[in-house]
Order: sequence, then structure tokens, then C-alpha cells
Amino acid sequence: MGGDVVPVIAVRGVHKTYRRWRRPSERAVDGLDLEVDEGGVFGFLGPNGSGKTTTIRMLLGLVRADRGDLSVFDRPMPERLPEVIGQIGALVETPLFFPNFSGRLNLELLSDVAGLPRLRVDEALEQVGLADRARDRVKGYSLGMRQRLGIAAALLKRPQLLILDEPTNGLDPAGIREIRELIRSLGASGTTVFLSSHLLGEVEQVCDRVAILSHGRCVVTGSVADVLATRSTGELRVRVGDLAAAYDVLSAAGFRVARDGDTRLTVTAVAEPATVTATLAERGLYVSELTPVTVDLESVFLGLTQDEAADASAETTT
Amino acid sequence: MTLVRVELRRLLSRRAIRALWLVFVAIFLAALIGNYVHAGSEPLTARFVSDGGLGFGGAFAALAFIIGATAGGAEWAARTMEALLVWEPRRVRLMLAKVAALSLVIAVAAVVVQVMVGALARLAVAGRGSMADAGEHFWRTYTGNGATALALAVFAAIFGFTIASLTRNTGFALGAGFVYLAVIDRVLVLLPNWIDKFTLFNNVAAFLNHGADVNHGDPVTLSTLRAGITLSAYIAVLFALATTLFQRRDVT
Ligand SMILES: Nc1ncnc2c1ncn2[C@@H]1O[C@H](COP(=O)(O)OP(=O)(O)OP(=O)(O)O)[C@@H](O)[C@H]1O
Ligand SMILES: [Mg+2]
Repeated sequence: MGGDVVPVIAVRGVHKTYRRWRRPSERAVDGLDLEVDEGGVFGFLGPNGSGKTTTIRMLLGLVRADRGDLSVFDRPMPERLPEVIGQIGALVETPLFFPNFSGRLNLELLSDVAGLPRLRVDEALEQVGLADRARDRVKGYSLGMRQRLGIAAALLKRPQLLILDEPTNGLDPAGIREIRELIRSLGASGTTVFLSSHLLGEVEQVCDRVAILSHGRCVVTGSVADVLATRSTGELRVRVGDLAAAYDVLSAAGFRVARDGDTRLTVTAVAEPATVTATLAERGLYVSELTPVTVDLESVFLGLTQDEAADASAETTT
Repeated sequence: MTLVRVELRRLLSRRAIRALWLVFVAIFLAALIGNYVHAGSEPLTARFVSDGGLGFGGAFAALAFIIGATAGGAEWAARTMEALLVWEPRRVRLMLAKVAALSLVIAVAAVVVQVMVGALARLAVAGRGSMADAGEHFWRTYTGNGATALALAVFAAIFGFTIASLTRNTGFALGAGFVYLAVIDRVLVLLPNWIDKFTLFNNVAAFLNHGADVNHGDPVTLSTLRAGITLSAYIAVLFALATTLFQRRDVT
């Protein structure tokens, strides 16, 4: 993070509680800090109800924060949103359109607001594979087709900042892959994509950086590799000819070793895998397989968000 | 203005609005025929033409109220307001554009209705009666009446629009309109006499009928001008309220 590089999205100490008439108020965002730099794909993750959509709504000036500062392209939101709205494309939750209008008319009504050429509507429809159904009424669209129309709407402006809130919701596997490729290529071409999603496999494939939310707060943020490292246990699987000898050698050398079935050992808390190989080789034991046990985003996600949940319930019980 | 054009297109593409328009044309034809039949065998005069439009002023205003309410509520019913705000976040502008487009549609429709009424009534007079009494004020009366009906319709449409915007619900606006006319306005009449000058019903009547006598005990005349100002003030207050709330409230 360079000193004078201005983040595309900056959120500082933001709180938001939904106050509802005669119902308990809902604390949606609770002291959120977040920074998204220019370019690439940023994954915005968190369990249901952790405040992702609320944050996106605040960034778009739809919902007013109770406290804290939000800025997009270095403009405070929502006051100076009109200056930059032309560079922001967004899909918030389920896309909604006039059911009795055709998909095309719905998009035209939006693109005309910004004075975009009609050609853009055709291009965007083409991009999401909806061109041949564009003249049908939205009422007759399937869930995935509505979702595609929503993505098309977000793409219309060729935005510099593309905010997508669960864009692949309801898409078929082919559709999920198409959108993944689309997001990846947009991110690579300089667009900043702010992507909220529950499909962690997708996120891991496509995102450069992520932030994980829990109870309206950011529990971890950084590059995907850094975030994975926070949970990395340094666990190795080792396959070697003489299992018993290897076990003794490694234990004696101070490694934490366990047998993993009849053919493998598991070594934990290893900082540098090469030390294991070296130790064994010194005693004439040659490793036939050495696999680091990888952590994936899902386990990090579950670990972090469940810790938080446990902490929160502990707080309430004590 | 592009926003107004977009809102116009949205209004004119709405099936509900097209349907309402057809319903109104049907009602208006039925009413004209009714008037004609009601006149029995008496010869018709120029007044049948010049005042014809005014008779529909009330009905047209009611229709305009409904159109206004659906224009104000549709975006909330379809929950598309959120999407629209991502394209035009200046909410006051959006409200003004929507009201301008609505007023324009209603005004054009009012002119069309007025011309249709005039032409059909004129045909009726040609068939049975004469325009002999048409006098020099005929056109002035005819256009004046038309303008009154038009203004009332625009007022009604904005009323419907603002109430639906305030409550974010078309049905509520329609219900509120009905309850007000059916109950509250009648109750207000029972209260101290000075209130009579401020009830919606009396003001609308005064506006349409070139002044009216209100106050059951000691009649006071309510002029067209005064009624117009009162109605405008009501609308301005409601619209300001609706816009302010729209500006401040969360859209989710
Ligand atoms: N319009 C609203 N009125 C009241 N409470 C709301 C509203 N919208 C969201 N909330 C509450 O705010 C909290 C955060 O909701 P939000 O939609 O931001 O979560 P999310 O992270 O997007 O969840 P999901 O993954 O399910 O989409 C939830 O507890 C929710 O109940
Ligand atoms: Mg959400």
C-alpha cells in the first residue's frame, strides 16, 4: 500500500443500525474499516447478515451511515456521489426490474438516464448472453436470466468500479464460469471489481485481495495468500520407505510427528519443509512424497467467523 | 432534460396507465351519452359544448389521482428505485423529473379529453339544437373550463404521486384518497365553520364551479383563485415533505 496511492474505496469506523418501527433495531455494521486499492478483484466475504449488503448500500448512498466516513474515488459519500456515479456500476442483491417491461426496455430506461448510446445496451446484453431473450418481458425470465440482466445493467456504464453483490446467485455452472471469466478479465484490464460472494472456491480463483466480515466488522483483510497464511498450520504429509525409523528420527529432531495410516506421517508446525527432507536424508531415509497440507479460503473463513461467533456468545454469557 | 424524457417513456410504457386511460375514455363516452339522453327532447345549446368538459373535470381528476398514485408507487412496488438511484443519486432531481413527466402526461391527456368532449358535444348540438346562443364569450368559456379541468387533474395527479411516494405504496395512496373523501372531509364539515374554507372538497368544488358558497349557516364565497391557491399550497407542502423524506430515508 503506497503512501500516496488513494484507495478506490475507503471505509473508516462506520456504524449502521437499522431502526425499525416497533421492532428491535438491527445492528448491521459495527465499526467497519476497509480499504480497496485500484485494479483487480477484491473479495468481500462474510456470513449471512454480517453487513456486506449494508456496506455496499452505504457506498452507493442508498443507506445512510450513523457514524464514520466512507469514500469512493476519494470523494466523501454520499455527499459527492453524483460526481463519480458515472464511473460506478453496481448490482445490489437480487436485481429488480419492472416485470412487465422487456429486459431491453428496462436497460434502456437506465442507460438513457446517463445518456449512454443505445449500442451499449446491445453490447451488455451480448456480454451476459441474454441478447436473444432481450425482447421478452422480465416477468417471464428465470432466476438466472434476471441475474444476468442485473449484471448487464451493472456493466452498462463500463464502470471503473464495479460493485457486485452475489452476482452468481442462481446462475448455472456454465453461467458461473462465464461470469468468473468476465470478472477476471475486467479486473485484469484495470477495472476495480468489488465482489461479495459466498462461493469461496470462486473467490479464491478470481480475487487478488479479500476482506472477511463478521458481525459488521472486518476480521481479516489482505491478499489471498496472506489471509490463507493466517491459518496455515505448517502441516506436511510425508511418505517414506521405513515409516518407523523416520518417525523416530523426526521425533528425536524435535518435530511434532504423527502416523497417518500405514504409509504416511504427518508433521505439524513446520516453518520450512526442506528441514524435514534434510533431517531424514542425513540418516539415509529418502522421502518419496512431501505434501504441504493446504488451507483453503473456506477453512479460513469458517475458522475466523466461527471464532468470532464463539467470542460473541462468550461475551454475552459472562 | 434527459431525466424527464426517461420518466415520460417509463410512464407511457406502463400497461396500468394505458389501461386506466382506456377505462377513462369509456367512462367519458358513457357519460356524454348519458347527458345527451338526459337532456330528453329539449334542443341543445352552445352551453352543452362549452360546459361539457367541466362535467368531466371531477372524474378526470379522480383518474389523474390514480395515475399519479401508481406513478409514485410503482417504483417501490417493483423495488427498482434502488437500481435507479445508482444511475441518478440526486433524489430531489429525480422527484422533480418524475412529477414533471407525470404533469405533462396528465396535461396532454386533459387537452385530448377536452377536445374530444368539445367535438362530440358539438356534433350532438348539430344533430339536435343550435349554436345560435354561442355569443362572443363562447371560446373563452370553453378554453377556460378546459384549463380549469386540466389544472385540477394535474393537482390530483401530484397529490396521488406525493402520497404514494411518502408511503412508498400505491395502494395506501388510493386508500387514503378514498378514506379522505368518504370520511374525513365529511367529518371536517361538522367542525367549526372556518374549516369549511379549507376542506379539499369545498376547494375542489369552488375551483371547478368558478367559486362556491361554503358555510352552511352564513355562506361565504370561495373564489376560484383562492381555491386554486389553497390547493396549490397543500400540494407544495405535501411535495416538500415527500421530497425531504425521500432525501433522508434509507432505500433498501
Ligand atoms: N432494510 C433492513 N431493515 C432492517 N434490518 C436490515 C435491513 N437490511 C438488513 N438488515 C439487517 O442488517 C444485518 C446485515 O444485513 P446485510 O444484508 O448487510 O447482510 P449481508 O452480509 O449482505 O448478508 P447476506 O450474506 O445474507 O447477503 C442483518 O442482521 C439484517 O437483518
Ligand atoms: Mg447480502
